[in-house]
Amino acid sequence: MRHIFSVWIFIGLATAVWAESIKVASLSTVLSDIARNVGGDRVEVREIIKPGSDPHLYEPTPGDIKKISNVQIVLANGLGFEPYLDKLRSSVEKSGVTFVVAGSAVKPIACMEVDHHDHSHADNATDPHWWHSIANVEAVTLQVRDAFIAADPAGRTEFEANAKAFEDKLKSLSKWVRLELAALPKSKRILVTSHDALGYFAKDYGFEILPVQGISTSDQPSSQKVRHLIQEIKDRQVKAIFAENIENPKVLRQITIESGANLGGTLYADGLGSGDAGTYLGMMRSNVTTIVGALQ
Amino acid sequence: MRLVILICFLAIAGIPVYLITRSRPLLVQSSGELPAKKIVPYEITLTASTPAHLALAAVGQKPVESSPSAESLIATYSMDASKPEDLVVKARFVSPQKNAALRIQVQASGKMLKDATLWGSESIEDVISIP
Repeated sequence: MRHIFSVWIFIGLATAVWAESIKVASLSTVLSDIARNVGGDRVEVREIIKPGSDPHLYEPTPGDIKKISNVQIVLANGLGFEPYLDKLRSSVEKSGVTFVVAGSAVKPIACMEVDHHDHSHADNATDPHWWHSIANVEAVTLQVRDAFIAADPAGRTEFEANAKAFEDKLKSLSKWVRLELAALPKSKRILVTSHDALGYFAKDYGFEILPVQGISTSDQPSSQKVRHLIQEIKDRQVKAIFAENIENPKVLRQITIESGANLGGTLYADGLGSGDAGTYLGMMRSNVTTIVGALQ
Repeated sequence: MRLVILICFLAIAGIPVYLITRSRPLLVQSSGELPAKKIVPYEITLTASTPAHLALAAVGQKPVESSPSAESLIATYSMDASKPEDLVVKARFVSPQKNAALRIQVQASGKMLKDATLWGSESIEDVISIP
């Protein structure tokens, strides 16, 4: 009888603790990872965008909207990455959900100039792939920390300690990336990628990006652009081009055949992958290792 | 006579048609011709707050080390002025301290291009980019 009573007490306590955790919905796998690192056990993260899915093509379903209505915080990229964001906000605003938008915490950069014959986008559009700059991820870590403290003031000490620990890991990562890339001559720092997602990485580490597609995976390159790209790869003796975990268009294979460049490996552009690349730290290490290995 | 006039007319009419439809040599814009490199000597000075084993390296350059330990190391690397390579700097302090420092200064043509200080205790290793 005593044992049954103890079990019920335990279940009651466990339920109480679980019930107190902040419920967070995340529209980004990177933000999910940041939330878990900062929130620890005090946060329950519900991934709306899952690893391996193409966030450029995602539209919220009624089921997703219902899930989002039942949380306290929604984490979003902003900077135009989620064209449905304003509509989503108005759908759930009566539920009292707080939106934390990473775009307001980061230093945005403009998209590359792209041939407007390929696709249409607003002039001076912002590159929404902010997470490829470690400095931006540090800023968003603090933003998420502050949002969690506001939602759960009792967890302040824990959130601050967790955020500091994650920041220390980001600083170590940043140093590791610099040391790895130092072995790659500046003349070889040319990234031919599926779409223009690595602008922040390129800016931080002195790379030039030659994308096949534009800023979104739904942009399609013209045959003229592909021909120019093939010629540029040949002229500049680019050793490798890179596919992405979300999409590996046939046109990339055409480019490798006609230019003589190798397919350098998979880069994680629009979010996290699986396995070792299932965390932000792992994803960045994977990308840098792939880039240095292919271009050196 | 009519035949002659007809032939002359067709010849005259044919001239603009020929001019429009003739094939022209393709203008190939070669982006492959890279501008000539301007090689410039960069003077790099490492200064440690306490004696340390100092080392400096860059892609395509001979690594330089202080042996034995020293408080400073000076080297000159000749590099492409448009894209100078990143410098990898290391210091392993002989007597570890709480706030040991390593100052890195990079000059070219009499101008100070970079003046940075790194902090550590037992050792320091990092990358310095030259603007």
